[in-house]
Parts: sequence; C-alpha cells; structure tokens
Amino acid sequence: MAVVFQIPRNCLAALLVAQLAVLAPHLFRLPLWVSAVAIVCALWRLLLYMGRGFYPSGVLKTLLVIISIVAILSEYGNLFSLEPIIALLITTFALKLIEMKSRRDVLVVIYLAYFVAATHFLFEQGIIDALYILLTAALVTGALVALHETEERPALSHAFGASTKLIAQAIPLTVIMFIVFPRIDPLWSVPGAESRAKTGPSDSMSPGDISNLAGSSDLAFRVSFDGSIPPADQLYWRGLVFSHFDGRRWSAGSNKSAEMSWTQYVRSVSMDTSKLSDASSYTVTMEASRQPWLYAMPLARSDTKSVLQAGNATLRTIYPLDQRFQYRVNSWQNYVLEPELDGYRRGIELQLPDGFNPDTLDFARQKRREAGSAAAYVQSILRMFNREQFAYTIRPPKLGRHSVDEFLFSTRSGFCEHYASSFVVLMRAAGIPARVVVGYQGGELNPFENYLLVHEFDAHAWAEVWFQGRGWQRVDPTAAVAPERVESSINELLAEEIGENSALPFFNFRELPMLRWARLRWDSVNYSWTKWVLNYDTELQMQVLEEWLGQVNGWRIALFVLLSGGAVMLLVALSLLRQKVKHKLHVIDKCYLKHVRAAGRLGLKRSDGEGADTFATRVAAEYPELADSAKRIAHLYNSIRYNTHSGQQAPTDLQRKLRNEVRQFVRAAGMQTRKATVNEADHFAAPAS
Amino acid sequence: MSTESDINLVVEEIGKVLLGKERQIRLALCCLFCKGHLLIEDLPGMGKTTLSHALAQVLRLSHKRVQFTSDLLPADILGYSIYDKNTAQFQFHPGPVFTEVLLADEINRTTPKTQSALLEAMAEGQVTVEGETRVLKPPFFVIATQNPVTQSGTYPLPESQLDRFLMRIELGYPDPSAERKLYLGVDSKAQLAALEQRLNAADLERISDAAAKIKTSDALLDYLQRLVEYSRSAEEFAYGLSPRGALALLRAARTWALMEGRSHVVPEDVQAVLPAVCGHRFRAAAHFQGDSAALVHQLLNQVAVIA
Repeated sequence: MAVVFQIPRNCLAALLVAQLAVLAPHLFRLPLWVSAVAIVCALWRLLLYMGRGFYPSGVLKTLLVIISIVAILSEYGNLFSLEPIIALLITTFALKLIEMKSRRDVLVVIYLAYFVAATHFLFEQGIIDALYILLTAALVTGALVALHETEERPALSHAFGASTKLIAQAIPLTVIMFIVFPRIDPLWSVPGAESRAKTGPSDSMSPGDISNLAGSSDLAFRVSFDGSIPPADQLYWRGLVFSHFDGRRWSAGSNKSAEMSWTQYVRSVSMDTSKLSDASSYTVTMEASRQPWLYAMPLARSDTKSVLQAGNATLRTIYPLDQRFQYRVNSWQNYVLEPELDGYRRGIELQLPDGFNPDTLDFARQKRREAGSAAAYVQSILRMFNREQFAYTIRPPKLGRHSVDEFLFSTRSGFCEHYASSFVVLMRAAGIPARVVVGYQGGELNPFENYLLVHEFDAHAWAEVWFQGRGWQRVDPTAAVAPERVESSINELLAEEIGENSALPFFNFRELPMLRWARLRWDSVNYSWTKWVLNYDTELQMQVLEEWLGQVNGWRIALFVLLSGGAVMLLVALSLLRQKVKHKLHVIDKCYLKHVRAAGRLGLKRSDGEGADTFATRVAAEYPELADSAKRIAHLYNSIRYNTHSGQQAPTDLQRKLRNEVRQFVRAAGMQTRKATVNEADHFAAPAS
Repeated sequence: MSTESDINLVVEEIGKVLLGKERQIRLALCCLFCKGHLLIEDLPGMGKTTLSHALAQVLRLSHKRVQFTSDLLPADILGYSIYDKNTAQFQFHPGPVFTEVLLADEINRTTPKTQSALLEAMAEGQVTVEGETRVLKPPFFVIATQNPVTQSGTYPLPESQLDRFLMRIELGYPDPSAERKLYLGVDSKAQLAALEQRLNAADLERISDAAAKIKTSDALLDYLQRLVEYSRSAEEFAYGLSPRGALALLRAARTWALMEGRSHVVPEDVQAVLPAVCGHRFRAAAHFQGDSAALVHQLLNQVAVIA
C-alpha cells in the first residue's frame, strides 16, 4: 500500500495562524471581496482540518481562478500595477490553501507566505511594520518547523518556540549583513500605490486651500540641522512660487517648466555665488506627498541625486514622491535673487486678469500715489492690515467673483492665502512685481533628537516683492495681521477654533505634558528609523563604515564581518557552554585527570562512563610497565573520593600520595611515549632487506 | 571467615550446576542479600530453573515451585479453606506461597489476575485470603522466571509488578567450553541434590546488615544522581528512574561492593548492578530505535563518572 502523505495537524494549525497574521495588514487595503475570499478559504481549510468538507475538484479550481482574475480586472481596470498584482497574489495565496494536499503544496504555501509578508513593505516601512513582519516571519517559520516535526510533539507552542529562537538568532547576523552588505540600487522600480491621496499644497492655490490643510495633523517633513536651529521667523519653507492669477486661482503660469542643475541655474540667473556666505546645512526627510516639489529655506541648493533646481529658486524631484525621501540642503540668508528684471519677466510678475477686482485696482493706485516710494507703499499696506479691522481665521466666509475686493472691503477676515493673494494683487496693481509663495512656516522642535517637525497645519502662503537692485524680498502679510502666527504655532493661535472642530485632538495647546512627551519621543524613534534604516544607502553606508573602520576596503570589511559574526557565535557558544559547565571539577578529579591525559597520549582514551579501576585495568593490560602505578592511582583515587561517608573528607596525606603517584605516572608515560616514537622511527629507518 | 570468601564459596558451589555463569550467579546472590525478589528472563532451556533451584539449595531454604499456566488461579498459590466434616469447621490449607523461596516458573504464562495475587506477598510479605491476613515468615523470596515477552502465549508483567522485582537478569547462551562440559556432565538432577549448604538464614541476615554499613561518599551519590537525572531528562527514555528505583540501585551497589570485598561503593559497583536493577524499569520513548538494554548502555556511556 502506498503511503499517503498527511499534513501534520500542528503544521496546518500553525499555517492558518501564520496566514492570518500575514494577510491581516493587507486586508484593510484590498477590496472587501478579497478579504472575504481569504476568510472563506481559511474556514474551508478549517473544515478539512476537522475532517469535514471536501477538496475542490479541478473544474471548480479552474473556475475559481478565472473568476478571481475577472473580478480583479473589473475592480482595478488593469492587472499590471501594484494593487491589482497584490490582490491577485493574495487571492491565489488564499485559494492555494484549499487545494493543499502534499508536502510540496505546503512548502509552496509557506514560501508564498514569506513573500506576501514582505510585500507589506511596498506600502508601509514604519518601525511597527518591521516588527510586525518579523513576528509573522516567526509564525511562518513555526509552520515550517511544524511541517518537519513528528506527530509526537503535541504542543504547537514548541514549533513557535523553535522558530522564535531561530529568528532571534538570525537577528544579530541580519544586522551585521545589513550594515556591510553592498546597497544595490533597485533594478526596476515598483510602481507606487495609486490609491493614496496627494498631500500638501497642490500646484495651484485658491481661497480655502491652505485652511483645509490646517485641519490636518499629518507630518509633512522633518528637518535636522547640522548647526543650531535658526529663529522661528526665518523658518519659511519655500515650496511653490505662483506668478499667474486668473481672478480666483493662483498658479505657476509659464514659469513652471524650467528645471536644471545648480550650475545651470546659477548661470541662468547670472548670480554671483562668491558673495554667498553664512550657509546653514540641514537634512530634510519628506513624507510621501505624491507631489514632485520639495521644501527648503531660500536660497537653497541641494546636491542630492534626483533633486533639481527650478527657475524660481525652488527645488523639485524628477518623480513624485511615492515614499519617504531625504535630501541635503545648503541655504544662504544673504542672497540677492534677480536684481534686474527684463521686460518679459516683469510682464509675468505684474500680470493681473482683466475685469476682476476693480475697486482694489483703484485703491492700490491711489495708495501708491500717496506713499511715494515703493517701499513706503509696502509698509502702508502692511500697516493697513495691522491697524484696521482685519481678522485671522481658519474659517473665512465664502468669497464671490471679485474675491480680493470682497475680502479687502467687506469681509475682512481670512486665512494666510487671502492675505498673500490680496497683498500681491495690491502690489501688482501699483506696478510693483510681486508673487505668491506657498510652503510651510515654522515647525515643532523635537528636543530628543533636536530636529524640527513640520506638519500639514504649518502650511502657509506669503508674498515676495521685487525691488530694483535688491531682488525678491519676502513679505508676509499674515505677520502684519497676526504676528503670533509666525512666532508660535498655528495651534496655539487658533486653539479655540481648532478645539471646536477637534480635528487635531493631540495637537491641542492644552495637550498634557505626558502625551506631548510620548508623542515627541515616539516621533524621534521613527525619525531615527527613517534616517538610519530606511535611508541607509550606499553613501550613508560608506560614511558609517568609514567612521567605524577608519577606511573602507575589502580586507577591513571582511575582518569586520568575521569579528562581529564571530562575536555573535561566541556569545551563543558561551551560553551553551554555561549550561554544560555548571560547576568546577573537584581538585582530586583534576589531579586524576592529569594521569588520564598522560595515558591518552599513549593512545588510551578514557570514556566518560569509565570508573577508575576499570581504566587502570585497561592501562595495565596495554602497558605492563605502568600497571602498578596505574593501579595505585586508581586505589588512592577511589580511597579519597569514595571511601568516605557522605559529608566526610579523606585524610590529606592520601591526597599528597596521589599527587606524587600521578607525577610519577606522567613521567613514566612520557618515557613510554618517547620510546614508542623512537621504535616507530627505527621501524621506518630499517633498511628494506 | 570473611564475607567475601563465604560468598565466593557459594558462587563456586552453584557454578557446579550452572557452568560459566559466574556473573549471573553473583547478581542473583546480590539480589537475595538485598532481600529483593529476582526475575530471570530468558528463552526456555537456558538454565533459569536450575539457577533458582541451586540458589535455594545452597542456602538450604525451604522452597516450593509453582509452574504458572494460563489456567492457574490465585487460590492455587495463596491457599484455600476446606470444610472439615470431623471438626465441622473450615480449615485453611496454605498454598505454596507459604515458604521461604517461591519459585514461580514462567510467571508471564499466567493471567494478570493470578500475577497480581503475588503482588501483596512480594510487596508486603503477607497474604490476605478470605478476609484474613497471614504474615509470611521471613525470609521470603520470590524467584520468578519468564520467557521473553515477544514469545506467543505470554501476558507481559505490568510495570507495577515489574517494579516489585529488585533485579531482572538474563542468562544467555553458555560459552563453547562451558557448553562442552555440559555435554560431558552427569545427571543434573542428582547434581542439584548433591549441592552442599554454604550459608544459612542467619548468614543472610549478617550479610544484609554488613551491606547497610558500606560507605557511600558524596562523589558516589553525585554520580548516582547524575544517572537518575539523565534517565529523567534524556529524550530516549519514556520515563525516568523513580526514587524507589534509585534506592534499589544504591542498595544493590552496596551489596555488590561488599561482595567485592570493599568497604565502600565505587562507580563500578553501580555500573555492575545497574543493568539488572534498572533494565526492566526503563522503557524507550516511542521514537527511540532500541530496547531497554540499549538505554542502559547509553546511560552508562553518556553519564560521566568524573564531573
């Protein structure tokens, strides 16, 4: 009779647990029916496990596969992007459960489980995610262990215990390999998940856009400075520059397509870089925004790969950010941007739509005449915002067609985009080139790692005004209305309003100190994770290795791997040894074993279970010359160790005798050894007659 | 005369009828000196019965022999009451168990019911028949023989009953020269009857007392504990040695040391008696490919004498 393979019951149970753990994070991302299929398959398998139910027939299996593919196609429209592929993978993974019969099938499911677990990293790379996947790896390995166990180990916990041990032992070696193994750039890029919403400012700005962002407590980016952190009123993170106004919406207009390297940029604006000084260097770690723009303080230069310089002195990436992105920036405070504007550029920066905001235009021209100089005009407008009844609010009233007119002369309450927008319109109407800048302002200091956290609610809009010879100057009209906005966080300023809608429960200014401490601590851990693990690229690797090894070359890396790997092995060995050697040998035993070693050199090996008399008899049989000595040693040894009642000690003179006897034996045995060697040599030297 | 030479004389005397089996004879004597019951296991015709008869004969102990068969009943061993017409009373007729040495031949041929009738006698030295408890006058030894359990028509002794036997020994085939002597020998029945008495009941008592005075040092007790611990923790063993088993081992080792003419126990003494004392108390775990002899072998080899 052929032996029918039975999947060990423990293995099945372990596999079901492992599969549930592997699928859990995916279930929230996938369409509901995929989760349903996974659960139904698991239940089906559970029935089979309990001895009920039936295995699906070939026709049914084919049908299920076709239905799944059709369902995925109709759900996503295509098959070849990240989410449908993952959905397909998980559906087949679940279906494989119910046709699993042979050992080979189980192995396929287990290996597939490892793969599915790893795909979670395509979506999330946080520290919690990593720990969770480590846990699932232990569970899947547990199933693998259970598959190879005999039926007699009933406890499922044994398999999981073994796998946890395995994983725990693998961790130190993984860390070492992570540190030294060459970081290889991906051979192809996996398309990002498409369902994610874009975050942060978009490529245009109309009233209400920024105030929407103010309701979000998501992290936009983190900044860690090489030196000290500049004062809050300098922390203007420039991201987008809008020069075109259509009456309602600000956008980049014709200015947007110029992207180039720093050198090209310097040449194109004919800037004198030698005058730049007082740079501050920092590293920005952007969260995935699914937008291509980057944020930096002016005037910014970044040499990070795939970062480009845009014509309006902002930074861009080549592709939208599908995952966290880290870049280095040098910023200078004493820059002069475009000291001269030609007619064409001037036309762009003075553009205003026809037929909008007639009252504002009149008002601007009149004010400009009254003020005299351009600088005085700017001051008078700011003074107007400051002195008159303008209010700063997160929920301004809706505006009609002539939005600037309505804002300036009737509603008079708005968020930063209203002030920036109307300010630029006022400037342009008076013939002064000006533009809107959108980005973030400020940031929260994390004292644990000394870096800034910039959240979505720090999104801000301000203005840049051009002066002959001095170039573009930042003017923040919001600062005139609500100076505290720049000095402190928006939360504290708008605490009451935000508190009402309670969209930001944790960021309430009444936040408990404990909660704040925990939040910042946790963020600092996350930041370190991003900085040292997720962004551990070739460059950082070289930097780390250079710091540790002094110089990076093959020899030193090999030595490092050997030493650190050896250290891990040594620790394991030591812990094993500690279990074995629980106590020290008795002094008499040590002395006795000396003569055993001497005999060992003569080729007489004593086994662990051999008593002294037995051994002496063996020695006597092999080496009659040593017989007496060996027997005396055995007798003395037995007398000392065994001829006493429990708790008694043997007389010390016996010990002395034993020592003497052992010494003599060792000497005699040594002579025997030499004799043996000489005999052997004679034997070999004997002429072949 | 020293105890050692006394014992050597006994061994020599029994050796006249059981040729070339000195070690087994010594173990059997050791078992009796420990006041333990002895189980002799081997194929039919290996001299089991001869050994048991010879033991009883040289010690001049009263002995009775029961051939265990599948239809033997407990009353056949313990005895029964019969109504006496003359006295108009029930009179107890003691069974073969009321003796000094009971030779239970082929004990595993009988049913568990009858086997268990021996339990009380072996463990407590008394029997209860028809509600009345009768004490067996010491010395009381059971020397049982059995065929290997793999043979057909046998009821394997349960663990609880095996545990009552201090030792189980196997005789094995004699070596060629001893077997040749056997072929040339005269009638074995006459030889058995001709065996001289070498020890008496008082001698047994004396030897037993002397054995209790044999020294066991800390080093030896450490070794004993290592053995016990190994049998309990190694996964080849289905279960380890019980405290009763460990005590039996120590008692037998003491007696063995006395028989070797030593005042103290050395590891070799423990090793000499361990296969006989522990062999029938061990059972291999289901996944272990070996019998209890292999377990004993492993135990003796793996546990360090010096540690």
